[in-house]
Amino acid sequence: MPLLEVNGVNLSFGGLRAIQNLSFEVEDQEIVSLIGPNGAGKSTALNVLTGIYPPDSGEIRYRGTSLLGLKPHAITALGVARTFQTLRVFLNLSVIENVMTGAYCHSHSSLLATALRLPSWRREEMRIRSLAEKNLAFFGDRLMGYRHDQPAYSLSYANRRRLEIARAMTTGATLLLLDEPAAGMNPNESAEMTELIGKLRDEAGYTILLIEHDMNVVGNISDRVIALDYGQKIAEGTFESVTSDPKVIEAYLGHQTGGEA
Amino acid sequence: MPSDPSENGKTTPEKGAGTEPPRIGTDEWVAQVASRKRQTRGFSGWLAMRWERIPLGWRFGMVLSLLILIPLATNTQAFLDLLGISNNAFIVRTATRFLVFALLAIGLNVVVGYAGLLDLGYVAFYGIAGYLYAYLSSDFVRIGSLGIDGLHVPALLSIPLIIAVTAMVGWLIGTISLRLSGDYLAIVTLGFGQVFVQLVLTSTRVRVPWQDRPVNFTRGPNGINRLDDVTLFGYTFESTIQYYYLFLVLLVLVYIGVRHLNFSRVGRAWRSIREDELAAEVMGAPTGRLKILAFVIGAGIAALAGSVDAAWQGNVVPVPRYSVLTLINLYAMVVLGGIGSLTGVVIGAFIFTVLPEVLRSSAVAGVLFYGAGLIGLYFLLKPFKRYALILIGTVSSGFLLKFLVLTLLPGLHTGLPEPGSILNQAVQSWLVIPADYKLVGNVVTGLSALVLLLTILARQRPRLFYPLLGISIYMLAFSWETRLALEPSATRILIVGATLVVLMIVRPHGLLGKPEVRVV
Amino acid sequence: METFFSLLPQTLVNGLTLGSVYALIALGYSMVYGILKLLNFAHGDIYMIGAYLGYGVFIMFFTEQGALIPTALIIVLMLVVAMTGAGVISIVVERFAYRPLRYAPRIAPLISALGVSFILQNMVQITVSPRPLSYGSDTLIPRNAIFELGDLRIHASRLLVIGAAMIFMLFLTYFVRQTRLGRAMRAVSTDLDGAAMMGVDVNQVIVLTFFIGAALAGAGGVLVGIVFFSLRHTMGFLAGLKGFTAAVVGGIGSMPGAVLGGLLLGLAEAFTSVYLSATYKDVVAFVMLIFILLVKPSGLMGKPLLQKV
Ligand SMILES: Nc1ncnc2c1ncn2[C@@H]1O[C@H](COP(=O)(O)OP(=O)(O)OP(=O)(O)O)[C@@H](O)[C@H]1O
Ligand SMILES: [Mg+2]
Repeated sequence: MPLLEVNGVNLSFGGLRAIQNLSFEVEDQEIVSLIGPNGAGKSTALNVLTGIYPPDSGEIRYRGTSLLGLKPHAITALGVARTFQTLRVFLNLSVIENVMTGAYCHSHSSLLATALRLPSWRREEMRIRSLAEKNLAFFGDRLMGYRHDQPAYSLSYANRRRLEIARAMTTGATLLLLDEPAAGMNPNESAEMTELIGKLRDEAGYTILLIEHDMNVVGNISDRVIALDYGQKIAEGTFESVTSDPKVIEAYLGHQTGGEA
Repeated sequence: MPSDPSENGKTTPEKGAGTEPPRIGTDEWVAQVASRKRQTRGFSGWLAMRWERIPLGWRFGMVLSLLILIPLATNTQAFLDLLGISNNAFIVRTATRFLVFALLAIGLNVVVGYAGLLDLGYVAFYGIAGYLYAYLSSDFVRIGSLGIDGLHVPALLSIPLIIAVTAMVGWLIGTISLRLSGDYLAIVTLGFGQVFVQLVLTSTRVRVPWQDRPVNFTRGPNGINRLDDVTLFGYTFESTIQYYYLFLVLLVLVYIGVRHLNFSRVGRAWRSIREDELAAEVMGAPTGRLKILAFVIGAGIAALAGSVDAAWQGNVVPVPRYSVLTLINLYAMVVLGGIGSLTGVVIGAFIFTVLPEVLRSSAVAGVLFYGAGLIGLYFLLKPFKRYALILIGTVSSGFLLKFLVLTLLPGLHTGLPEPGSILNQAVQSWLVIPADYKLVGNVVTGLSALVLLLTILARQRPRLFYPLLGISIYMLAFSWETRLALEPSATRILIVGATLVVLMIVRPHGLLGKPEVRVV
Repeated sequence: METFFSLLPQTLVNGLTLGSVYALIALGYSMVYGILKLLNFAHGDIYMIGAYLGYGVFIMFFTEQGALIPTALIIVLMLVVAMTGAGVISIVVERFAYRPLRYAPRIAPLISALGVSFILQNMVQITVSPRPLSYGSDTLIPRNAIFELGDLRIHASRLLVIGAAMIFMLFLTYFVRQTRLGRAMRAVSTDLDGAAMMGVDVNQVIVLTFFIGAALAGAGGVLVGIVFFSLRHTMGFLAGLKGFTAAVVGGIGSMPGAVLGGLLLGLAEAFTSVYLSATYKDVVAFVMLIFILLVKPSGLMGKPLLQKV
């Protein structure tokens, strides 16, 4: 059974058909990339997967459980976490607190235990904190040490992207949906991010669905690539086969002079 | 990493281990610029730094011992002589009001400060709890057919019950109004608060199916009185000072409890909702339930304060105690103190209960008015030389004007019939005060507001600014002596209003709140 | 049933009178909200200031010897002075209490507005009078100036209120639809930063919005004084609350919505007073508000917010 199954999903905004009959699967421990020109519907697809927009029709299953009708937090609790293209870190919370918020869905201290700081609360808080520290440590020195207590707004864009990933990891998810994790990064940082996404799968065992415009990133780590255009899947397969597919080339050149490929 | 100078973390050997300060120029050092700046600025900066170096527990203990000592210290002969009053009942009453408001403000802070919900119906919870206490602890409820002649439920039972019921109402209101977001939530909750007050005011002759005569549920604007005192474990709280300590205990408990909640999963989730609701939801926090939880906890704290407060006051009256005025007061406290900062909120409650009381006495108000004016002017005009020059210039121009008037238009200056305290007399010595000072005072008061605003506008142009400033000072002194000091009740609210506006402009994030960053 | 129908026309007229005033107040709330997303809690006090400025004109021309100039002219003068004065004061308030807070946390201008409200009320209390004042029940429009339409008897003052309010609203509609500044106003209310980038002078538009909104409220103050004969320095509070309610019921930010909300609220209150009990009229207003918002969360004519992720 695939980890994630998307079957015949449709979504339109008024007259705009943002997602049309989209079907694909993601296997356990796979890295799948979604590509496509601007406005193709990639982010919208993630929004549908995470319950932000209910689809008009279609089926979405995670480990066989249907995600339809579930609130975003419930989907996260099942094990699907994401990052945002337009960075949505909690700017006025500290770095470590940002990451710790991710642990809400698998922590249980009661209000009473919290208000009285009972030992059970203490143990859980320790667990959350060390989990957050461990996940931040995944990014090497970038988010370590004194940075833990800095407010998130003091971070650079690249670090905010890393912070979002750490926050998603802390939810305890196995499937990470990353929306353009290398956007706004310089080539060095992109390369580092590519390596990191590989490590996320190889060392930490995550399954990853990735949206990315940077073809160096996509080409280096993807097991499989899915191309979207106007909300429709136009190609699927290995990086080489998809990027040489005439439909994909046309999609990129057709309405985007230059293209990134 | 040439593109990002603050990112070269790898090249610096030592990481902030805590004890020693970071080396100058390392990125950690750079990151601390803001706090260093804050700490070294001026006397208040020095004080804040000193204060922050004291361990948290000690700070808490110091403030607490101060609060414990207030009723005792103000009851000493030396203190009473100093203020020229015969006893400290008034002070203890004000201090108790402060504690009640601090409790209420902490509850509101959970809703507004942590969860970011603009709940304008909050006072209704305070009111509901008050009325429930009145029903459960007075002779008011009389049902002849059941042989009930007043309910007198023990406080140990009634107060938890009231908290539970009010929290349920909070849950209901929260569930209903959280379908709406932002400002719509605000207006629906405001509507709820208004409905509560209006219902209390009007439910005096309600027809009910099981009675022939209409029933008076609330006694309307008169409220319900002769409520029982709180009795806990055989100890009855009677005097204000006893309630003071009861409230102090409650405040400490609630403060600690809420503080603990804030630094836990729930508090983090609340604050993340305030930052970005959608992101919080997607990160696994059930935002709907958490917001309702904030509502319920806020309502519960309001109920705790409201029921004990009803017992202390011995009565409940809908207006003004449970009206929007109280709500405005509470919001002022929470926002002024610094939204989201518990200590700030308590300080806000202190300022907004003590300031209006202090302003009640027009002698004290005068000292505050001129004192604040002189200090404010100093900070505006630093260095001292310029400050002194302006003041001397203004005062001597005043004397010159008076001299001219006395010689050219004798009879115009008559002086006030009752010049007031020494301070007033001193100020009046350089003012021209005509016989119909009331009328002139009215006009000047209105105009002085305008001139003051003009002065603010002109502050970049010295040629205009200094003369205007002098005129403003003269006019304000004139308004104070001829009108404002004579109308203490209106003036104190005027001053509170002006304080609100000025403080918001100077520190939009409140006294202790951290400046927030929205979009970067 | 018979009394129901016999009271109906009169109640309608009463409701429309009250509703026109609420609509005038609601417009200012809604316009300012549309542009700055600011709940201007001092707006009700601007309305109060309008009523008092009208009073100033009134006593200037109404001496013991009677009116110095024709009463129609006095009423026009009262309106002009009230509208201009309220507008100017509102601009001053915007400049000093709101503009410095334009990029502050949402709640800061709210508190500042409350402070302004305190200041305005107490300034009037100190410098004018803490006691209620009145234009006089008979002086401006004689008691017997009544139009009869069959059974329906309408006092001229009510017609004046409804008529004046309608003229103002028509004028406003024309202004917003047809003039360059009006278009700029709509542009700013759709997207403030975008409009600024396209060269719209945002500050000018904001000042204008405050002025127009306050002028309408000031007119409302005078009109209320003419119909209900009583002014108080605290009158702005409840009126502001009602105007705000009307604006929200109609869909805050929408001008036709504000008018609709105002009229609905006025009618609801009039009908409650007549058919239920006058004591419940305020309860009904807020219950209506809660109900409408729950059914239609963005008000009757408001557009739902669109959130892109
Ligand atoms: N909430 C919404 N309401 C209306 N239209 C929307 C909404 N969200 C997205 N769209 C539209 O749907 C289409 C797909 O948008 P989407 O953000 O998914 O594109 P994308 O593939 O992520 O592009 P990019 O590479 O620029 O991020 C676009 O035309 C967009 O304008
Ligand atoms: Mg996208």
